[in-house]
Amino acid sequence: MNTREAENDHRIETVNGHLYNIFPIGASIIAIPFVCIVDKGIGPLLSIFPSLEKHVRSRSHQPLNAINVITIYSGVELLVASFIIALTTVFIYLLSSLYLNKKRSLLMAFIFAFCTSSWSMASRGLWQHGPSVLLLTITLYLILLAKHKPWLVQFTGLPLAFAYVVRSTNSLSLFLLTVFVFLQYRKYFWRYLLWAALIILPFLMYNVSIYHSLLSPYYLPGRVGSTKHFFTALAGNLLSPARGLFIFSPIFLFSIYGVTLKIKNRQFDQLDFFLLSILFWHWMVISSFPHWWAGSSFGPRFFSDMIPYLIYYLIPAAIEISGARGVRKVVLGWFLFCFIVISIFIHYRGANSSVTYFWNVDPMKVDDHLERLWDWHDIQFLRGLR
Amino acid sequence: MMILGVGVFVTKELIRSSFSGSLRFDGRGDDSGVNRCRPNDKEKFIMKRIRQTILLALIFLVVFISHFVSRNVTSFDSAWSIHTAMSIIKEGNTNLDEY
Repeated sequence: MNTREAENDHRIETVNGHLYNIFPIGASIIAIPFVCIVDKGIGPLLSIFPSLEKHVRSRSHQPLNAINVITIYSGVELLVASFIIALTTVFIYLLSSLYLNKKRSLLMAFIFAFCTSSWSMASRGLWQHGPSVLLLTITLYLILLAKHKPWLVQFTGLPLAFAYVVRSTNSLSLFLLTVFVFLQYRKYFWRYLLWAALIILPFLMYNVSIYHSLLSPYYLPGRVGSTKHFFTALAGNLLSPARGLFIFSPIFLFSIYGVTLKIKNRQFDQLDFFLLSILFWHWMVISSFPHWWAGSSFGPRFFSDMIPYLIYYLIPAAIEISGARGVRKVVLGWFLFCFIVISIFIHYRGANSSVTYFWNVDPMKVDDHLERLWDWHDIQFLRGLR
Repeated sequence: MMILGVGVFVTKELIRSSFSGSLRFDGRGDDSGVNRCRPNDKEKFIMKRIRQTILLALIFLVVFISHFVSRNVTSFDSAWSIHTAMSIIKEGNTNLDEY
């Protein structure tokens, strides 16, 4: 990459004469063990399976002089991201199984893996969203376990702090859940801070060494509140046919139902208050970005970090449906089934159909024509079907 | 290394906890947990753990394979993340000057 190429690449920044990835370093740190394994293993693997080389070359969009981690980086990204989402699914199952039986916990894991942006976005490349979802899921799981084993809450400091290193918007989860630990588990609060400091202090020292500042420019809140389209963005992040959370994953309408059930059944606790606060402020923050539609992507990319919390609120809905009787059970069950089928269909297309991504630039760039975000005659996930 | 050690310990504890009964939304556990097993139920409990571990492995494999073989690969904003990881491994820094 020469200087001219670097200047034209929006993902690269020059700091003190060196080139750096503009995006947070967390995802790259998580990728290190995988990159090591592929780097050491790709040569022997290709010598044992020569047909694999042919397959890799045939899947590449450009001719490959050599096959190594760098020339097949997008494949390595796919490998790491798929691994991360698979691991997250396991944690979603474990989290659900704290409240549900095996069958319904499997359903929650299935919904996470195939009815959400975890399939169509988070596992398509090593975006920040996959690692973010994994770390927030582990955090939530630890907090739920701490209801019976309070000492476990101190360890939430590790995944929660790392979630911030992975993605800046996780500052909301970091701040609000830290307040929650302080209020609910004051006995373990200092230990919690010490575990978090194990991650945060090296991160800050790294920033100082590179940027001569505690935070990199990407982490500064300059982008927040800088849109002219705030109210459009608020509606768009929920209901746009190109970016709306409830359009792409209608199954999450049951999360709203889950919250209302918790309130109705007087099970709404302090954790719920903080989780809903995170969801609300996350919605506010992503709607205040100047590019609230998340550029060239598929569906509600900016909302994908919140999937673990949204799945958590599906649990009371699942309990209610399983305990319902008669017509109520049939109606709720039928809606659940329909929303699951619609969500799978949409995210299957996002994960498998390249024309859904070409929608971002065809017939014109969505970044320059925001009216396309509301065009119900050219819906992103239906591209190529008509 | 210390973090890795803590990670292994916490993971073991998490898995053990997940086998030891379930919570309800009212915060009370049900009666299916290991803590309530009688000594002669130990064999059953071990079998349950084995079955559960196999189930977790199956969940992981099914999701991993189905996501990995899905055709779209969208390395847009993330395009330099693997290069950065490689730079840390090979050069001990995060800059991308070598590319």
